[in-house]
Amino acid sequence: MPTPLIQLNNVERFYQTGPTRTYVLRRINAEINEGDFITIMGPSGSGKSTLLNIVGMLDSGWSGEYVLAENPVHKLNPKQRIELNKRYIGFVFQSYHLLDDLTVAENLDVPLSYRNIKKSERASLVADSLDRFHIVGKKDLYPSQLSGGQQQLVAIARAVIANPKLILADEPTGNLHSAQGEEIMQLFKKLNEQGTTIIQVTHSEKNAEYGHRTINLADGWIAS
Amino acid sequence: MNFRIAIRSLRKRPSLALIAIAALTLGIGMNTAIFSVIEAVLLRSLPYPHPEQLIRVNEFTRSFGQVSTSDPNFEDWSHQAQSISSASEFRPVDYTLSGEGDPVRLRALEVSAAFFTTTGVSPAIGRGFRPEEDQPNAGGAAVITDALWREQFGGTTAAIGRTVDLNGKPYTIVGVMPPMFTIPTLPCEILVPAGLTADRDRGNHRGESFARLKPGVTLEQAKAEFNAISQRLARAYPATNSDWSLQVEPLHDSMVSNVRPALLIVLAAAGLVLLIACVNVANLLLVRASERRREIAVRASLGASRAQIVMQLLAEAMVLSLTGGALGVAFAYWILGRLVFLLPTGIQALGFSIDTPVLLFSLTVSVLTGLIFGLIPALGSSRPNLTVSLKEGGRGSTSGEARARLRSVLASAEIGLALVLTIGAGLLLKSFAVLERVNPGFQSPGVITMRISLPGARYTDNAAVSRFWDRLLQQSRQWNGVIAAGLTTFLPLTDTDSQTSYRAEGEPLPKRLADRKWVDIAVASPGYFAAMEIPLYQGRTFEETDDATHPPVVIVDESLVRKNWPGQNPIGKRIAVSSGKLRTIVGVAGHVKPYGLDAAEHAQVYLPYRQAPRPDVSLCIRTPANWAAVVDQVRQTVRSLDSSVGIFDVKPMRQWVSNSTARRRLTTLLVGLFAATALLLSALGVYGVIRYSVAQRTHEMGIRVALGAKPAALKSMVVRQSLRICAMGIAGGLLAAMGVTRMLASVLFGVGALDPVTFVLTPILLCAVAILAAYLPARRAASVDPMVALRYE
Repeated sequence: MPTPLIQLNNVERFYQTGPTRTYVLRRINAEINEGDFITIMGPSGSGKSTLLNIVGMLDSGWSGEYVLAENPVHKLNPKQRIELNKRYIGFVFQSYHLLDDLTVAENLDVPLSYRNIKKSERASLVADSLDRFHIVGKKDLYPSQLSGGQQQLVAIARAVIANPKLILADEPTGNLHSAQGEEIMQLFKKLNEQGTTIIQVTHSEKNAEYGHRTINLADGWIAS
Repeated sequence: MNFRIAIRSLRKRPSLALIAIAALTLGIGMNTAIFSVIEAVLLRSLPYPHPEQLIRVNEFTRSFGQVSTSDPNFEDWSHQAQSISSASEFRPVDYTLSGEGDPVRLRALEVSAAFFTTTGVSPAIGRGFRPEEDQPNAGGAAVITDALWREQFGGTTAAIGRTVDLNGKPYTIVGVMPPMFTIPTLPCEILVPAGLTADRDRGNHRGESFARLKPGVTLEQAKAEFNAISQRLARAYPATNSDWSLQVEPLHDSMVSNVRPALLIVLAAAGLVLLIACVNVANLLLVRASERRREIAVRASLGASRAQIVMQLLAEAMVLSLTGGALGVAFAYWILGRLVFLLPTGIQALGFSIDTPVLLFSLTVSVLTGLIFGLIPALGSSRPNLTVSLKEGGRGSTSGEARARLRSVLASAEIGLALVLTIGAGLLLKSFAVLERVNPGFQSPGVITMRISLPGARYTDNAAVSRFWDRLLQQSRQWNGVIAAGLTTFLPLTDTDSQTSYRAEGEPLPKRLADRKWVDIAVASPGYFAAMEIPLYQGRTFEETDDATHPPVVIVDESLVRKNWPGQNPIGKRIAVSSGKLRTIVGVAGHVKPYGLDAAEHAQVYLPYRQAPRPDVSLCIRTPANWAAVVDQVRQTVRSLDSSVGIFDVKPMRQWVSNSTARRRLTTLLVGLFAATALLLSALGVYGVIRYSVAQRTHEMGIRVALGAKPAALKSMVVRQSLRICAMGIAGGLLAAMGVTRMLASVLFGVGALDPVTFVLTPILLCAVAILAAYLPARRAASVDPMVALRYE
């Protein structure tokens, strides 16, 4: 029995509007093991991105229990959560979110610069990553000089450069045409095969097929 | 801090960077320039060993306030005081150096022998004065400055021992002062012994004095001792010293006390400009932070701590402020080059430069500016709402609204600060306008003035002096283009004074000086009143016959008549001036303001030059002709009468009048300049906020247009927003101004610190600026295309 990387017990998220509570997530219970490739699906407003943000510790206004790699996230303060995030998680967004003023190489360096890694070591990791993702020729280009697929490629390279155990991808192919999307999904598959746990949010059935398991959400509840 | 990324990021938004850097350059530059003056004038120690031991000893009377030192009093306290190691008296005078080509006017200081011991600075070549040289009628010795030594005597040691002609008397050069020797605020080229013991009249105040405290003696101890000495001397000499005391203050303070208020006002104004510039930059950085919301959220999602995000945002603020600081120093250098010529000569002589303390000041101001005003937006933006900020097209968060409010508050603060400064400038301007309208009692346009000094050694008696002036005035009738020419010993507004006691016929002369009546005294020739167009209200002016062989006469001014014979005809009445014989009043002249257009009124009397000849006079010539040609004629005449006599200080009377208000003019000019800058910066601030707000509301504007809003309605909506910001600023600014302007009261003339006109007109001006600042964004709002705006969103 593999150790669960993520355990969610009774996780709930609501927004208070005057006296009314609007729930976005209700009693979410889930276990995700190391090496899993999970897909979260559901209609718009079902709480997919909210769940991903909670797992990625971008959202702190939830209740319930969340354990990540045996660390009780629900008991940690914001500073400790940032540390945990840095150690375990890499993010990939639908709109890439590369930093416009930085070159490809500098974008890759950003997560490393927040992790107490020596400059020389960082340069070597960036070089490895450029090589690994075949984007050495683009290292001095700015995001605006790249196509959408190339930007997402860089975003994935940035997400994995600090060697996270878990990649959270929010509609990673949402802004790409089908050929580029497939290329990105192949890359996720490869990363997963190399041991990285992946959770993706998607509307695409085709992308969902890359995963081992699908969590369906509806109105904030796990439907299946 | 990643400065490289910060610089690159700023280069991509050059308009923001340029506005911020321009604002900081103005703010930091103005403060650096003013600080360099403050540093030189108020903060720099006197250039003497242990400057903290040097004190100024002033004599003080209840009737006149602070007065010069009298020789016998100086002699008494300098011998009695145990708290001082030495003391010296000094008198700034002008000497004529002749026999070395054309006569040269030298700014001299008559000093007692202990001057060198007291300052702690001895001649670099030769020696100082010996006690026996500081005696009445002793053989003349002189110590010259390094600059004079080089310019006039070729900088050779042969100058020592050389005899020169000063005021017609031989003086031997015995020493040359070190190159760095200066007397702050008192330009001087030559030192000569004062021969102080010559004057035994304890009521004759004609010098200044300073002393050096013994090591370890505090100012308070010295004050206590001088107080005791004052009381002792008052008991010993009740006639002259009963209403009298000695006052002690640090020498440096006394030298700068007259310029301190103006400098502090200007520094405060410059500080306000910097504050407005900083608020402006903070506002721009807030806009920038709003634009960077997504970037900050991405960084946070990639593991950046709050401190790391703050540091990144601060890096941009620091790049802006350090660039602004560097350019500000260059700007300050440029300002100083122009400012120095506007300063009084004594202050100019201090020498201003952008030296280490000034650079440290600029660096500190730049770093603090970057830290404080970069920190506000940085802290406000370093905790982004990640889930909202990272959403595709995520806009309109609550924190965004809070930031918009903060931007409006900051723009209001700029308006408020600008209002305070503009009201201050308005008060100073109005005060200066009132001063300019003050009638000095004479008509300065068309009058040229010059000083002529007869060497005392050759013009030893009154007859010789009188004869020279007779011949000069006689020949003046031959000068072309001259309407009138006259002599006076007391030219108004030339920073001189001459007061004496008087009594009306029948009144006893009180024994105590404190009980006597005082009057300004001038010796004048008949043509003086015509040349200066001083009105004669009653009687006659002086005549050729008013000489030593005829009964003594006097012309008094209207002020003296009002004091002594209100409603009576004073002509024919007699007064005695300076304990002398009774003189008959032959004329009543208009009152002249000799000490400044804003000075209190003193009664005046004029004596005819033939009855009271003086060797030092000012010649006043009214002429519609070319002044240079007239001055040439005067110079030729004087040379033909005596080649050792020269003419000096040739100046139009208008310039003397202008000089007398120079300090006020400079303060007004600088504060006005700062206020204009403040208005510009606050307009930029309001413009920035409104422009950003219009950009944010493009969608809303599109909907409004689609629903039928007219362009005028949209313009009015934007202008109203600007006026709301302005109204908040004005409310705060008016309250602040009421407090701040009270501090200006002491430098205002003829205007109250809460002048209603200024307090009403200035806010109207600010409203006009706010409307102007909103105009361009309003036009943009009015031209929104609903299709484009709605698609854009």
